[in-house]
Amino acid sequence: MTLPTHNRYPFSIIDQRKDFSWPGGKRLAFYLCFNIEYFAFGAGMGSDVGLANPAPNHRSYAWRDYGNRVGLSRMLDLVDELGLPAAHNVNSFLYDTHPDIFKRIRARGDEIIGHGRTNSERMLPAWEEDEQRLIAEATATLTHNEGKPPKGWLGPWLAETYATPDLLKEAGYTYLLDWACDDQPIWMNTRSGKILSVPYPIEVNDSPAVVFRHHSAREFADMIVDQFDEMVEQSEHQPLVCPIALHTFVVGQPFRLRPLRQALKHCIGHPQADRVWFTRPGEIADYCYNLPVDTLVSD
Amino acid sequence: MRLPHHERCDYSAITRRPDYSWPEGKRLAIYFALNIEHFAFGAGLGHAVSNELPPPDARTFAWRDYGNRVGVWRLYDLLEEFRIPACHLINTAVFDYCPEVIEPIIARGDEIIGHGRTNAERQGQWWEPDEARMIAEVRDTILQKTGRVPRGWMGPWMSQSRVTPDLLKEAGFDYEMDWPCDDQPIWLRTRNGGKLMSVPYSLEINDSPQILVRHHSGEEFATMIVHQFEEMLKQSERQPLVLGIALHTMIVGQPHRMHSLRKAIDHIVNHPQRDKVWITRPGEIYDHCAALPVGVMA
Repeated sequence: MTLPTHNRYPFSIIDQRKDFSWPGGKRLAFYLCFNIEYFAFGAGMGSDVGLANPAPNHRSYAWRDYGNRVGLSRMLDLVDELGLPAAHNVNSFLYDTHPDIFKRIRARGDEIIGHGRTNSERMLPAWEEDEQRLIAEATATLTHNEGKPPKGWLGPWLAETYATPDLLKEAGYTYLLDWACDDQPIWMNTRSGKILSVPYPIEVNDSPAVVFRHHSAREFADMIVDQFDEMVEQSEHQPLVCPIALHTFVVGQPFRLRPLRQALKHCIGHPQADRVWFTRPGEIADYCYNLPVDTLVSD
Repeated sequence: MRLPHHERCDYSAITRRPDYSWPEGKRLAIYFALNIEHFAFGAGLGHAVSNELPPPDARTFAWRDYGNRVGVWRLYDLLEEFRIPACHLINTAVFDYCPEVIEPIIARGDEIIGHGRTNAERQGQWWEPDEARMIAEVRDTILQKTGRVPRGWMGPWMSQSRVTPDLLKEAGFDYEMDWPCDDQPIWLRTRNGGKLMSVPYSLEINDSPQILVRHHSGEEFATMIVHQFEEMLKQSERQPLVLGIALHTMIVGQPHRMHSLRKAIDHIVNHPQRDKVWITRPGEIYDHCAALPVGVMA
C-alpha cells in the first residue's frame, strides 16, 4: 500500500551514503541561527512564556519585544566574545520598524535568512498566489536593504503549504530550512528544479524546548552539549550538520544566556574542535552546490 | 460608564429622525441580494448544509457548486418571472471560474456589489495592507470584467477589520452593507473626515444564518420574509425603511426552498399596497439618500 507522500525527496539511510568532508577535511558543520521576529500588538500569533492573556495580551507582547530591545544585543555580545559566526532568520517587517537592528549584524558579516514578514502569521490563507506574493514581498525587502538577495528561507513557525518549496525555488532561493528530516543537506524536488534542504533543528531549538516543552535553560544548554558531543563522534562516519536555533526573547534572558555561554564555550573548546566547521547555513549550501553531482541524497 | 465603541456612528433612535420618502412618495424600499460565491476544494471556509467532513469534503464542495451550476440559473428565472431588479454580491473568483454566471446580470442591468475574492476566506483579521490590496484587487477586477466600478461592498461572511470602512472609502466605494444595525441607511465616519454610507443588509432575513445555522425550513424562511414585509410596510407609514432580502444560490436555489420563496415574492409583488413599495437596488437607495438635504439621514 502506498500512502500519500510529498515526493520532495527519496528515502535514504544516513549510514548508506557517499562520504564527503566539509572544507579543510572537517566532519561536523556547526551553525547558530538567531530568530529575530516582529509581532503585532493585540493581534495575530505569537509565543507566550506563561498563560496567554486575552487580547491585547500586552504581557506577552512586551516579553517578545524584550528580545529585540535587549536580548539580541546580549546574544550578539556573546557570539562576538566567542568569535562565532551566526545566521539570522529575519521577519521582513523589521526593516520598516526596527532598521537599527541590522547595523551590528551587517558589521559582523553574518547571513540574513528570509523568515516571512512576521511571526504573527503563518502564511496568508494558503492560496498559492498569496503565498507567492508574501515570499516576493519579504524577499524584496531583504534584497533592497542588504544589497543582495537572501539565499535561504525558513517559514514563520516552520510552516509550509504544498507549494512552498516550488515557490521558494522560483523566487531564487538556493536552500530552505523547513524540513528537519536529516542530519545532512539533501536535494529536494520542485516543479522548477532542485532546491537544497539544509538541516535546521526542531529539537535543539529554544522555542519548542524551552517555551513549549518547558525545559529549563540548564537543560537546554545540556541538550546543546550532548548534541554536539554525540555528533562529533557520529561525524567520524558521515559529515553532519549540527544546527542550533535561538530566539532573542528566549535565550536573550540573562539567566538563560549564562548556561548557553557555558555550552558554546564547551563546543569551541572541545578537544576535537579542529574537526568542526563553525559556519553559517549559506556557506554550507554554497559548499554543497559545488560538491560533485550525486554526492548528496537526491532523486 | 463608557464602553469601547467603534466610533463609526452615534446612537440615533429610529422614531426621532427627520422624515423623508423614497421616489414617488414610496415608503418601503425592498431589494433582493443574491450572493454568488465560489469556494476552494479541500481548503478554506465555506457554507455547509450538514456536518462537514474532513478535507477534501467533496460532498459539501459539490453542494456549494450546485449553486453556480443550477441554483443561480433558477433564481435568475425567478427574478425574470416577477420582473424584479436585484443586486448580486459576487466573489471575484466567480469571474474566473464560471464567467457565464455574470452575463445575465449585465443583460438585466442589475448591480454588482463587491464581495471579496472568495468566501473561502475572510478579511477581519488580516493586516491592513493585505486587506487594502484585496479590496483594490476586487474593485479592479469588477471594473475590468464589467466596465463598471462597483459602488457597494459586503465582505465575505460580513467580516470586517477595525479599518474596513476606511479602506473602502479610500478605495472609492460609496457604501457598504456589513452593519445590520438599522432599518435606514446611515452615515459611517471614516478616517480623515470622510463618510461612507451603510445601506441596511439583513443578518436575519438571510437564508444562510436562518437555514444553515438556525436550521429553519424553506417554508419558515418564506414566512419570515412575508412577516417582515407586512410589519415593515406598516412601520414605514412613520419612517421610510429598507428591507433587504439576502439569498444564496446553493440554499434557496434548491427547488424545495425555491417553491416557498416564490410564494413569498409573489406575496410582495402582488400586494394590495404595492404602490407604497419601491423594489430597487442598493445603489439606487444610495443615490436617493446621498441627494437628501444634509442632516436628514442619521
